[in-house]
Amino acid sequence: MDDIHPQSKTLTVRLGFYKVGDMQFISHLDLQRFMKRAFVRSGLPIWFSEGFNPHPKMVFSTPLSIGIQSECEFADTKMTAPVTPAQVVDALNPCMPDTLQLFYAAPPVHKMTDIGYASYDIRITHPQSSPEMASAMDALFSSPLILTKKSKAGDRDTDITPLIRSASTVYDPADNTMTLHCVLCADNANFLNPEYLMRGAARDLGLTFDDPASAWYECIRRDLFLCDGTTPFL
Amino acid sequence: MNVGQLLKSVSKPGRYTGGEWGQTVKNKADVRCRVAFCFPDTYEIGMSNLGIRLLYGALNREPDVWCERCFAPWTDMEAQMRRHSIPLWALESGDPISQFDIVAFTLGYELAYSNVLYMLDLAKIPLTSAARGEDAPIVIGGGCCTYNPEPIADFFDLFSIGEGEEALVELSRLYIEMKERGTYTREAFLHAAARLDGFYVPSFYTVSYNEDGTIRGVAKKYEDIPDRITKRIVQDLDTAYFPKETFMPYIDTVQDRIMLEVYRGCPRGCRFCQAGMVYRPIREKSPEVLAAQAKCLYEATGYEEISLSSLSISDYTRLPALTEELLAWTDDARVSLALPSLRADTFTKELMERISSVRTSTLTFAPEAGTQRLRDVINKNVTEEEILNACRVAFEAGKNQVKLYFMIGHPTEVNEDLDGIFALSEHVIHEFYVNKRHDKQIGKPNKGGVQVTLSVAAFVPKPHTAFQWEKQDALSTTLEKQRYLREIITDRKVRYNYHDAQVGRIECVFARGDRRLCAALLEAHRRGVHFDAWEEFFSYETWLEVFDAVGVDPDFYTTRGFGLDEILPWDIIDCGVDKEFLRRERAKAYETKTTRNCMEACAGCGADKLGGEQTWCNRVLCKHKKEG
Ligand code: SF4
Repeated sequence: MDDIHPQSKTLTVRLGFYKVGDMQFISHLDLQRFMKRAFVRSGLPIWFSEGFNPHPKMVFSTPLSIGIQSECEFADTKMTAPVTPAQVVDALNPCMPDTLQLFYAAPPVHKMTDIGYASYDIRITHPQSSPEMASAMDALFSSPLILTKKSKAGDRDTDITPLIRSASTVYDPADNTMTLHCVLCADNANFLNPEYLMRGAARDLGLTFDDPASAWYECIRRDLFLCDGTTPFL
Repeated sequence: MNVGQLLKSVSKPGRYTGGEWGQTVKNKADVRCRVAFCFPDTYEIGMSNLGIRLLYGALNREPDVWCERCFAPWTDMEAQMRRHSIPLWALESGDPISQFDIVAFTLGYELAYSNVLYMLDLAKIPLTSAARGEDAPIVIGGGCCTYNPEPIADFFDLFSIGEGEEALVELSRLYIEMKERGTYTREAFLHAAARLDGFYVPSFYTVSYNEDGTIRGVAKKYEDIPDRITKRIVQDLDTAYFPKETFMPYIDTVQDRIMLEVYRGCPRGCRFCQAGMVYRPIREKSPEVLAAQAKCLYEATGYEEISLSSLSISDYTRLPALTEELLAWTDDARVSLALPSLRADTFTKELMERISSVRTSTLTFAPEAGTQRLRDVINKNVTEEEILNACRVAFEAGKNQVKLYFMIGHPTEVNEDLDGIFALSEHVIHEFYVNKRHDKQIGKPNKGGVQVTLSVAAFVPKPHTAFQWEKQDALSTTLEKQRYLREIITDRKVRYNYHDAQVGRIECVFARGDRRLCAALLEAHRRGVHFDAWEEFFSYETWLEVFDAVGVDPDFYTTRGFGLDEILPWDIIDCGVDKEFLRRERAKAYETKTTRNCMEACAGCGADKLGGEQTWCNRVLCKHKKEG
């Protein structure tokens, strides 16, 4: 509904921020509410929608599941008066916790829909980690891997490997962990949640669990890329 | 295994992370008294509590006191904690609360009692005061349930009676002082605390019983502690502590907005209402102070809504001035005002226009009884005409949903009173259609159908009210009345909701219980009872088994009624309102005579002895003297 208002007076700013530590447990909706109030506290000339329930406009980039950290999140918002990127960062960062801080603010370069890939580091702390397990994992992600995706339309079996651009696992003997570095499809139509990879690994690599509910890996999103898989999104 | 790793295994991990905006973190080296403020229910409910925000801020204003928060973990987290032997921790520091100096529970409803034991158990703190050693935290209770603290007396070392923002600061100062002087022992501390105003140490009082189970008397352990504990009040709310900033939950909670307490107490005097008695005398805040505090909190938080919260907001004498002050900046800042507790008799068009930003299409009123006769008995001084007037104003403004609160089981209730509930709903619906016809004539658009929602609770005779001696209806009677209502409500535009009668009965037992109920709570805990306030966990059968096992007869506290001359379990607490006044009010109820509210005339309830600034007691003093 915002389009009916004159846009000329407003200025779109793209915010780049990280969402790490405990902030990984905050959902998209909760984040939006928090950032909205942070905008108010910051005193920035933030643009509000008209009408019954005025709110700042915020458009977020690629979805991020609860429990995944990120060093590379973006959101677009609008200002009613010109502000410099430095002003935005300086005003907003003190209004947010250490685990949610801007690293960037500038007019958008790309369209949100230009995003093609996201890279992740997944650190696996399962006690069965080993160099052999690391190779087995690489092999698993390079041959067809069929997973059942649940959706409203019903369950669907799909091979997720076409959505994996690259995946490689390194074993670290120092703390008996493995780290999977992967670049996964993240465009609108083909978004691959890194949790699927872990679901496949848990199923096919013979990992055993005392308590199925307990956490055995940590995941962090490192970068967002355009469709070529190499140009950083900005 | 640490807390962080558990978070991925549970629902709503945001309940357990801490780190909210506005929380207080201190350097442990500077702190000499650590307080864990515990709320015996979920994070979402606890974080919505205004009292916690006030007390948290008031305590943390002391440089050497650090108050943190702690809520009841949901059952999935409980399973993880037990599995990995992780004791209950406080959100800010992540430290186990068993290491704290003071563990304070706020007690707002009786069904949360089982969660107090649940949390103590998860914290690995001995459940009873008697079992706690010198190094265990001092466990304190406060909040409206402590106007009858007896059913939970064994589990608490200390109760703070009345308003806590000054009392708890005083208590923590006493604690620090005794620790520093080396005079601290558990017993010495409790003894010193018992001599401060408004603190009750249950273990210093021994209750004896008559053959028939009623109370024979209470013996004190020390001469220099009070016979009755008079509640604490804050004298002047204008100068009392109010937070300049506050913690803000990341996750969705029940109330996540600025809550502005406009006044304390209630001038109305409904005879069933405990809040209306125990928060007296009525003390107002000045509009300028309120407006400044709201602005300050807005700037610190960025909240988009301010809720004016008091027992019946339209009774605030300076509401126009307050809304004026607030609206002067809230509209521009896109902040909305909410007035949640309106009374039908003061709900005017003018007020409606002021709060045009009220978002919902529903208006809520509480007639509490279906006929004028019964409304007179309970002293709910609102007439049907006033209710219909209020609805008309609402309908004219385009609203089409009305929610009406009732209670069944009031003393003297007969079937006509139940019929009256439905009749009143029908009159409200009629009012809507009259209005709609009128709108049509003047060419206003059709606004669709009307919906009246009835929310019908079962009466619980609460301590410190005129009805404190009354019987509660037997369970079968309540069920029969609920069935009767279901049958007579034939209009599909009326939605009928009623509370679980079994819950009401257990609530009644614990609201009116004595110390013998402590055994029942321990037994219930042993059987795994917790989250009783949650429908999915509440089990009436378990409670009956528990009462049976420990030899408690629930009828003794519910359908028996209490004798007018009987020593009541809560007589040890003086909330300011005299027992004599309550007796008079009870007698008037049976004569169907109403009592004027404090704004019209002082009824001589006795609460004026507590003092207070900007009170009705001061304004109506001359009348009081005349009547007295
Ligand atoms: S003393 Fe009088 S005016 Fe004051 S609260 Fe009691 S009844 Fe009301």
